[in-house]
Amino acid sequence: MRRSLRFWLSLGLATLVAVAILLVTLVVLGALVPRLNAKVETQSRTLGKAAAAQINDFLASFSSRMSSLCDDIASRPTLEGDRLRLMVDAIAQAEKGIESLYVVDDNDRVVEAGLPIAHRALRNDQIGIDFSGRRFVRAARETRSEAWSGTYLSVRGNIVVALALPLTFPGRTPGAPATHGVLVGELNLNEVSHFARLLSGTDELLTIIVDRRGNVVGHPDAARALHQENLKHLVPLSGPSDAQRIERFTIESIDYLGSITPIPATGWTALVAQPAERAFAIVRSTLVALAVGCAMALVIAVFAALVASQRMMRRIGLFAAHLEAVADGNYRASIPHSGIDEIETLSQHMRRMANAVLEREDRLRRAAKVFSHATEGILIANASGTITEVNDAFTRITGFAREEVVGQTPRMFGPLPGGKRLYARMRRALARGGHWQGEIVSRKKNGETFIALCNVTAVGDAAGTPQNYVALFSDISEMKDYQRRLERIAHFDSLTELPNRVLLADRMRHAMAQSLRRGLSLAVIYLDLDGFKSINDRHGHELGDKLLVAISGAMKNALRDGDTIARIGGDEFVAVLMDLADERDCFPVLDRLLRAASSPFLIDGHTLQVSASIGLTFYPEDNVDAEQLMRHADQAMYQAKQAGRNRHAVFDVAGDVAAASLSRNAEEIRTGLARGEFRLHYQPKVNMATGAVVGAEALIRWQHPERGLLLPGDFLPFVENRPICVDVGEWVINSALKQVEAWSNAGLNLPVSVNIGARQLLQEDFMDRLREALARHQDMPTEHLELEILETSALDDIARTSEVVRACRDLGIRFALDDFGTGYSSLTYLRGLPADVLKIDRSFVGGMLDDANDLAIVTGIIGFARAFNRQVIAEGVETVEHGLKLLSLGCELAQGYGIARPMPAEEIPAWTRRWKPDARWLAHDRGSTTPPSIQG
Amino acid sequence: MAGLSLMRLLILLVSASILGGCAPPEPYRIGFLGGISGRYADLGIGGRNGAALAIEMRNAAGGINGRKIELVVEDDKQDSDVAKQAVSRLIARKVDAIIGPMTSQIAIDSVPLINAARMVMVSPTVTTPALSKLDDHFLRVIAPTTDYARKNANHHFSRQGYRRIAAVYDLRNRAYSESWLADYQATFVALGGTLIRSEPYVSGDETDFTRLAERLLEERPDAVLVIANSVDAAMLAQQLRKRDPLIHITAAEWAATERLTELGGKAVEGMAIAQFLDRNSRHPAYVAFRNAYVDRFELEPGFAGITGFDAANVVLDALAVMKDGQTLKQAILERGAFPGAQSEICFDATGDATRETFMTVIRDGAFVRLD
Repeated sequence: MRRSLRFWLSLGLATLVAVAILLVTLVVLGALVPRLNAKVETQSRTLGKAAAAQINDFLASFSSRMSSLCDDIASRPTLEGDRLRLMVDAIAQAEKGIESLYVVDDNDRVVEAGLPIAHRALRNDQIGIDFSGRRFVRAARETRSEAWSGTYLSVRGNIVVALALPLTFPGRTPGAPATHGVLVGELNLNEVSHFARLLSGTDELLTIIVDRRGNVVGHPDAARALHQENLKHLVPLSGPSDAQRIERFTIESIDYLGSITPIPATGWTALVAQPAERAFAIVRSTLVALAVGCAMALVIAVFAALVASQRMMRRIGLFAAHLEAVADGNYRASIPHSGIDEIETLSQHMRRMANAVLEREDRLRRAAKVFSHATEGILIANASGTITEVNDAFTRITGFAREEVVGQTPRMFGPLPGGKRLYARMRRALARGGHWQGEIVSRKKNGETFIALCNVTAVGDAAGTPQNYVALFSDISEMKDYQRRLERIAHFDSLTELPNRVLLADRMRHAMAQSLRRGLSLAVIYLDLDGFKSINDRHGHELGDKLLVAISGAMKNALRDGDTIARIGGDEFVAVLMDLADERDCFPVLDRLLRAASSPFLIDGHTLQVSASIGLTFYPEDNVDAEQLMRHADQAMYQAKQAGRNRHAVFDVAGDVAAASLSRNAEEIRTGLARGEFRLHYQPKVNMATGAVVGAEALIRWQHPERGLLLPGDFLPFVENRPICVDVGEWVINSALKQVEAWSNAGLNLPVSVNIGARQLLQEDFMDRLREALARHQDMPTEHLELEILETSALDDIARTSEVVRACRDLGIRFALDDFGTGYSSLTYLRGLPADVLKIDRSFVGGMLDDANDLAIVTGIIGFARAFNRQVIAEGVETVEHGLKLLSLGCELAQGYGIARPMPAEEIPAWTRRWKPDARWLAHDRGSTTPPSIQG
Repeated sequence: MAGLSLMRLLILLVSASILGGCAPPEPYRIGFLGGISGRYADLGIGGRNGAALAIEMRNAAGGINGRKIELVVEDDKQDSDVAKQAVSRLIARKVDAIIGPMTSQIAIDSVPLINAARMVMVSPTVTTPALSKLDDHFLRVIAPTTDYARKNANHHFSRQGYRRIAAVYDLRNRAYSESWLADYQATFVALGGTLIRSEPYVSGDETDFTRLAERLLEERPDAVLVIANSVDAAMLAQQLRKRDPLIHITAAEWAATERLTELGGKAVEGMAIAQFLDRNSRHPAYVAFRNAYVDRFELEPGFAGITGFDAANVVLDALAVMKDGQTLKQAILERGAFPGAQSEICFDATGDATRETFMTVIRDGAFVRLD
């Protein structure tokens, strides 16, 4: 049954009160009613006994009088004359209530009658009459004891009872025989009615005396006693021996409660009764009062219950409204004050829940914002692979609208190159670790393909069963393009399309290795054009460049397949000839080269002609490294130039002894470390656009006791790849940390970068040692430490390097790739190497204003950083122009002699306070449209 | 516990509030008029007891159509004024009928009132011929005195051989006694007898029975005829026998109650008296009635008892069969015959009934039937 809470509350409260009232009532009734009953009964009994005693006394007194009279008469010797009459008259007159006295002889004839004075006139009517018809007279005579008559109406019409006593009376003369007669006295029972009236007192009490037959003989209304009314059928009369009883009976339609008390003398009964209604008036009024009280209490209780429940309902209603508001999404709805603990608690829970929802919503909103504003495309698919959601970036990248893809599977992007194997790998990775990362080639809506760097994550339920797959991807086609272009720029000369120095070094390394494997020689040829500068001077760079292009093409054609020629400077070229069984095998090539270089070229209407000087050396005959080989070839070229140009010269291996004297001993460095001869100088790094000092690079110096202050190039090359190098590295890190901490304590928050070699980085205990070092300098914020990895050294073991870098980043340490752009595969591996900062090598910065190649590299690196969302900083800013150029390219961070030379640590605080950027830099900044992401 | 039990109290409380509107149907009220105190009381009390018994028995049997019957008793004290007031009270109480009165004089005084009120009055014992042949509201379960007086006269003259009769009669019930005496005289004289003396007296405390007896015996009658109530008859008999122990005494039916033998003792031995009641009857209805009466009142039912019983039953039977729109009188007369406790009661068109009489003589203190 559904009813309102108010109904149930009211019903419950009212029932509770009703039950309580009922219990109280029952207890009161249980205690009160028997007492009241007992009181009424006691009263009845007492009155009954009083009435019975009174009637009994009345009758006994009459009996006693009669007895005395008998005795008196019998005691006389004779009854002369009127003696007997006088005696009986005296008693009849004196005794109130005596109707008449009769002296009956042994023949049942009345011989004398005693009458009150008022009735003596008719005495003769009485004398001589026969009493034989009166049974009680006979009874007295036969039993010789007193006998009571039944009540009857006397000849005077009064209700009477007669008492007969055996009487022996003497004769009228002495000697006359005594007569055995009977004395009969008639007692008027008006007196009984009088008693009854007195006893009844007020009309509240009914006192009735009935005779043996049940006829009324005494009644408060005396006339009623004369009517011989028989109550036997109405009142259960007592027998002669019965004790007093309490009975209920009805007389004349009135319900009475009263006592029935036997009157022993005559066998009569005294009824003393009260109308039950009156007898129980107190009980009834008590009950009525109780009933009214209970009813009122119940009404009040119901009313109170209604009011209380209404108030409670109002409070619950407010709470419900609050709930509804929350349900409708108003999580900030204020909690109503209820004043009820439980509801307050509920409200608090509700508030907590709402707060939790708000927080969750906030998170969801943020997530949604991330989702919708992410630059990465996001695709969510369910467990069966059906796409359920994509974000705006997805649409922007692929061209597919959300509606076009939701409900499809990723197969809609068509069969992709290597797709089958790729998906299989992806599935395995997801099943194994819940994550897959890789590149895929996908197709846009317009049919174009693009390369996506994709991160797929399986989102499982509590049991780990995948429910959704979230794929994040970015279009890295442009980046790939950049990468290719950068690689081209990095490895080829942009003017002549010939390999540059970088590629040359690489090829040389391969060629040298191959040469050793094959047991064949290779020749390194250094070629310098003769007279080219004068052509430049005479015809301008443009024409000079065109000539270079022409000559380059000719020289390239002069070489064999597999040989390499690279441009390493303005008019300087290096060629590597492979697989020479004999040194002489290369001479025809040398001739062709010389011819090619010295051929006349018609350029823009000018016939231009130069010549070339060539130096060469052979490997492994000249068993040095590539650099040395080039240096040797260069030396030989110099000799060729000395010998008159347009010719070649071969390096003399045997005569090369110079270098040996330059060797340095690692032992000397270790001693220097122990003696504390090393120092750190700091070169500030600034933001040219804002003038902020953003950090400093720690650079090692050796205060040599004999040779004075040495730069790293003076001693480090000799210890490279030796264990002492690690010791030096650690000393640098510790010193830098100490310095940063000192500055930090002094109020200067300046991040410091430290150069770190591959050998040190790849030490097995590098991380442990770094953590120990950091632990020793707890005041230093770890993010103030930046490690600069020499790019080329990092490339040896990219996976291991990457691992260390990530561990350091977890500690808060930043990473920079030093000399960026000089390494061979830097771009390929940059993605796996999460460096924060790319450093543009000083050589590119120094040359970018004159050399288009260098400028292209700088531009490329900056674009690259932008694509990869890395910071970029330029080294070697020596002039204001360098800075302006960099700013125009979008690079704002810089260091170099143009800003500050490396300086001892103690000078740094003053410098940072003093330094102001050049006004032109600041002016440029105001017009800048550089994207903020690049400023880092 | 004889008092109120808790449960009864609770029931009382509940029923008092619930049953207020469901009272039992209003009872029939039957009035009774008779002298139930004083010298005449034995007749009145007998009539009242008879009527009361009839009503109690009827109530015990479930009443009339579910309605109980209530008896409202009025005492006329054998006094005209008292009687008229009593009748007026009964009429005012709107009783359904009146049983009574018990004596003719009171009937004569009351009939104008009940006729005016169209109140049916059924008398158990009134025998005055003054009310005979009148189509009024007065009915009786007994015949006029004429029949009884004639029967007595015949009996006295023919069977007892009385020729000279001295009569004494009570002026207080003149309507009865005078007519009774007149009818008696007419028959007796017609037969050849002589009423040598008729002595009227007024019944009361001061009645001088000695003197009355002396005067009745002055001319030595064959018998003394007493037309009086039982007490007076007994007292007179005592005085008569005191003076002439052999004198024949005879009395009208009026005196034929048990009080006569009780008070009369040897003085009434041999008294011849006509009875409306055959005390020796073995009729089952009578035996049942008598047993019930004795059981109820511890008294023998005199003729007043049985006629009171019959008169009440006539009214009750008639009420039971009364149709809508019918008056009680119409109902009684339409039915006509009713089973009496001893003999059938048949009303004539004017509401008089016939009732047999039996001649009895008192022997050893009891009435003994002669015929």
